Amino acid sequence: MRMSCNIRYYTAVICLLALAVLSSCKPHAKTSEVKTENFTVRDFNPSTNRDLSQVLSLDYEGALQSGFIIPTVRQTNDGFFDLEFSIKNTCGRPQKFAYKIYYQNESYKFSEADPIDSLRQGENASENFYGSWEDTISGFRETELIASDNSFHKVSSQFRIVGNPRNERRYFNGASNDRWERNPRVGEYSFMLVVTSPENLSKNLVPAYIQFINRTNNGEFVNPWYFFLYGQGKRLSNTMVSVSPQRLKVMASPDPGSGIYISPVHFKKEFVDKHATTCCGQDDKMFQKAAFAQFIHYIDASTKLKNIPVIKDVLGENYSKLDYNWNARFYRQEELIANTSLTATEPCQSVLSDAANHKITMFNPKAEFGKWQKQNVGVITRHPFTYGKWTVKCKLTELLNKNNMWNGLTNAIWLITQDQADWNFRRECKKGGYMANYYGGQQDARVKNVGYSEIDFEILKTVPYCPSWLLPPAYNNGLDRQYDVSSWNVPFPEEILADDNKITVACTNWDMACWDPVNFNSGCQTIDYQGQTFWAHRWDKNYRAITEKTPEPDDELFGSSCYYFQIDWKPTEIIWRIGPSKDKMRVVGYVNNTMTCIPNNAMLLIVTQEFHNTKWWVGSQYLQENIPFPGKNIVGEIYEVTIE
Amino acid sequence: MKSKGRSYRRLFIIFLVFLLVCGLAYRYFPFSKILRVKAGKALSQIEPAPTGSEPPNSIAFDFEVARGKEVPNGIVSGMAHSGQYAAKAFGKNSFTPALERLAGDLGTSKLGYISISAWIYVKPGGDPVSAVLVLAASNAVGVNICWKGTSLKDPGVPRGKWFKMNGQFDLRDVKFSKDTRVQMYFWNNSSTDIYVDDYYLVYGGPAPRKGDTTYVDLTKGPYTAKFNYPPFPVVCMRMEDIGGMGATSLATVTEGVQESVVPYYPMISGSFIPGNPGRDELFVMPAGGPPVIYAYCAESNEFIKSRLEMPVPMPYSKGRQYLLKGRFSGGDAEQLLFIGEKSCFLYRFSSKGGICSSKSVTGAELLWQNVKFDNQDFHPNRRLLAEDFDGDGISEILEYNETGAWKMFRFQLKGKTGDWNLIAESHELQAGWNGPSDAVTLTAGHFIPGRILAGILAISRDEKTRKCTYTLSYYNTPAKTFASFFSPKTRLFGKTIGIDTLKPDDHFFCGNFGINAAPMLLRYNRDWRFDLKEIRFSDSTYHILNNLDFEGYTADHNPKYYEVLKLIPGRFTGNQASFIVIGRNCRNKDFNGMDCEEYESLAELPDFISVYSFVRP
Repeated sequence: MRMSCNIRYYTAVICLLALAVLSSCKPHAKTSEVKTENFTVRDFNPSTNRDLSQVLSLDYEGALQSGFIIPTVRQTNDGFFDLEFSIKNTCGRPQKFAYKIYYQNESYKFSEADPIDSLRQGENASENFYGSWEDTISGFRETELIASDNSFHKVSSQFRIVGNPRNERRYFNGASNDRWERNPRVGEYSFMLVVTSPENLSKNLVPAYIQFINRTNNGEFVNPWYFFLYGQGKRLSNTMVSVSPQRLKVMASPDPGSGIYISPVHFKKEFVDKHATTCCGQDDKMFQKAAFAQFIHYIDASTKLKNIPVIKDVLGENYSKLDYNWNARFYRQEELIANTSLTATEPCQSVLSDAANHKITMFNPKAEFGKWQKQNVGVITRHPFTYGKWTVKCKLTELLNKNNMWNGLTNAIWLITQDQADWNFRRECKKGGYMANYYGGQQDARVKNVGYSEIDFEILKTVPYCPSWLLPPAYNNGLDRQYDVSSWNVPFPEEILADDNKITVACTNWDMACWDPVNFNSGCQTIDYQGQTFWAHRWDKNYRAITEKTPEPDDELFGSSCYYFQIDWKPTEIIWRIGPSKDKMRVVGYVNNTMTCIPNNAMLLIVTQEFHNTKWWVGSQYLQENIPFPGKNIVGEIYEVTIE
Repeated sequence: MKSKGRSYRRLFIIFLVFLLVCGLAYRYFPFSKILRVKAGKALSQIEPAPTGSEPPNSIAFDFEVARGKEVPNGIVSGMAHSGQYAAKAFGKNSFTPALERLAGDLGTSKLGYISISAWIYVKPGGDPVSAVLVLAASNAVGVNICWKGTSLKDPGVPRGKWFKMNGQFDLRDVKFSKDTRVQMYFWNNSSTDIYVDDYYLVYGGPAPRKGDTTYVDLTKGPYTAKFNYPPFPVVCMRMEDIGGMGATSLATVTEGVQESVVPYYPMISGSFIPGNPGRDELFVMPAGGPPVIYAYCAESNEFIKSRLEMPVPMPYSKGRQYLLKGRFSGGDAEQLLFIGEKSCFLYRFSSKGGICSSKSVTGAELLWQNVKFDNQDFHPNRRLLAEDFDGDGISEILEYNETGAWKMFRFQLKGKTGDWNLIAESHELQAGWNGPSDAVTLTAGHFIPGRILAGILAISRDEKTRKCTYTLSYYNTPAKTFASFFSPKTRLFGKTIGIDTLKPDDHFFCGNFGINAAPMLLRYNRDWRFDLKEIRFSDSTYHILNNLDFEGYTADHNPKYYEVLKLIPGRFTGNQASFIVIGRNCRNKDFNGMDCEEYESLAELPDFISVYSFVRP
């Protein structure tokens, strides 16, 4: 009996201890007391109606027009976070108090205070995604009259996180506030409650540009987090600032099975419905629900190549370097097929959204005699974000066959500017400006702002550019002497063959050659990150992109059932990772804002299988024009996209 | 006196400054950029890399010292990327021995681009590396007219391991003369110690493709086929799966023993053996052995070698000889006419013991012979064709000469033997047939599907203009003349449309190669590459229908890649014609496609013999 009592006692103790340990792992939902001269605040809880420790996945319904709303009515009972705090009036007479909730994205922000002079707002801190009440006309809200009765009074309110929280005019299209143009960022949000006396407001001790976040100070936004945590607001009397320990984690998961929208600008009207299905098309329903659209490449005229007239399934057939070498030398000009890489002329043919399995299947269509084509294929997301850890789980086509012969494709997972219009301009480039156009040459004008941005994974068969003494390899181009096999079947240099089974993972940031970064440079330069050294390359000071290359086994990346590719786009750095699973990612590329201008505008994700002109990739061992047209459809699949 | 002293002082100071400038110049001025670096005797004592199957337009140099020779200055042993020796460049302003060639030896026209590479080893140490892998060209007096290089500079230069350096240089603006010296060397301009090995220099940039116009430009509109202009559709012959064949032999003679069938052996396919209807056999005259016949046995799906019992042995010789086949004496089977330099024979064959028997023997009956060589018409120096020109089921021999005159002979069997009778001859010289043997070629065959008569396709090349023309004519039995096939009959020469001209060196294969034994006419050209096309004659020209290729071969050993590729047409495995294809590569790298003394089985393209035919996809 005594024994069983003991057991019960110890069990209870263990349970209590376990409970204590578990509860200590979670941040306290409510804040402790904070006292000011005239009042005390406690129990600030930014969300009483939703557990903020649960990751909130963005609700895509209607988000295309309204932008993402956090939360929506499908995520809380009323589509708002119900905030609550308790206040005790200690001033000796009944009084109203002013309060305001601020939220800020913490994952992708610039430091609010200047690291050298904390009394100055940090550089670019005004770009941080912060907001408050959706209606920026209302500044601080007032509590009801609170008696000075030595007891706490509950104050409740509501807020939600929306795009363009400062209601900036640049995101307006006429009277319409296109909040989607500045969607809420993914990642963690923190919440700051500011309670102050109405006098502080009326005396402008809390400046109007802090009370009303849509206002600016001398034309510049001032981040209220800076103001209250580091700036003048920190020392305001009768002002309480409480940052909730609770943080909200937001992620986006565009569903590959939600359909593929067909943009009206890319296809002739007569083809639009030709292959339309319930999962691909241009109707209103698809417009509303599809998270992806069929991507149509801009075809650069320089991709016009005179291709060998050979149609082969390079991956499936036993195509080899011997075949490549013969085909590269023994066709006459007259037999070649001049063409650029192509894009689909009829939508929904080469991209399929599978609602049941939540995946997208796409393929580069095969060529036929008379219909020689190297057709690019891809999909693009439709909801822009700024920053985020963009992870794609996919099985794109293998690039090399068992003879390590390349099929000519570049698998690309990339981010691109949502729009090059003014509203999506990048931060001003102060030193000389950006090159004005993506496709401009060396003589292109330099401008203060551009809307173009691009961050790439481009995976193809090519060679490293760095160190500089490696490029270009000493290829022997051979001769077309049919009676001497060794004259035309010349092996590649040994360093090329050493990486024969590898493809190159090229990680590129298109900074439009803005010279602002302190270590902006051309040629090869190294940068260290977490014990790894990366070689970055830029052709010249007007070259619009910086690239790092890593050789990786084709079989691993594209021969397995799926693989993960991640672009971790942060305000001051970009990290490219790949791996067999999300918890086994390795870094294959790293740049930061000391060497390249990190974009800060809204971007979309694109996944493509595309045929590049290998002249873009200097020193490549295989030339695109000497690679056969595809003899079979070349399939790639996208299983999952997350933006965190 | 005072001023004199001042002058001396001034002179002394100038002299000191001069000395200082000289010293600094010696220390820091890169004279090597202006003056040729000495190649020295060093490289003359070093063995060049083995040649043979080396890629063209390249020099590989690995600093290996010939056995027994003194190790030259600048070369060290025991520290090499390959072999035993490497070059060293230790300390500031040090050079490795230069690899040097005269531009005239390399070919001045090939020096527009030069690529170089070398393997480098930097000894571990903290001193920063600054070095250049140099390509220089100097004139006869030793002054550089070009100095280019790939820099090796810290940060990032590996230490304590071999790594490669590359460089490619555009030298199109450099004026090379034959005596310009082209040099490659490594210049160490830092205090580090550096080893260098395995120089590789490639000259001659990518050769431009043949031709000058690309007809199909899909950026300008969809493809519309233009008659006889490339590209043409590709159809493939597939390798047949036949048992018993070895890498170079058609049949396993006895277990484990195989006899090669070599491209230069005289051989001909024909329906020689009665009782093997619808199929052809291959008659081969091996060097150093008696002739043999290979016949396909459907039961065992293999070729069977049949021993030939010949009453009079056929002498193998490398000289000119003819193997002609035809139904010269009528009957189901064809006879074989051998015309050598010293003897001529006409054989009729019969099978003893059955084709599929491992002890198969083929008997040869001699119908005619001429060992005295009194028949001047049947001589290897003559030009002979065998076909049934008049459509009576009996084959004739057509002899023609460079004037365009011709004679037609028919074999007359009297009892067990017989003789050749002249049955027709030209009264007028046949236009289009005249010309030297290397400029005019006649081929007899069934060029027009459905025509019983065999026609003669004559292709001639004008010696001056190099322009080729062709005629296709058929024998008019009553008139005993050859008349043009083309319409109107007054049109002697066929039209050439497109860029694929019929040439005297072309080979033509007529037969039922098509699926379901449909007749096809194939043209085989090897002027520049393997080029086999299906063509069809119309009443005024020929139409190119398809390009032919192979499939189903082992690994990537496409027959068309072989330096020597013999195609022997015949209905070997059934009524549908196929090719026995023999592929070899020549050991002699100056092989010109004519005669190869010795073959070489390459790892990437090993010797083979196979049968290819068209099959439904």
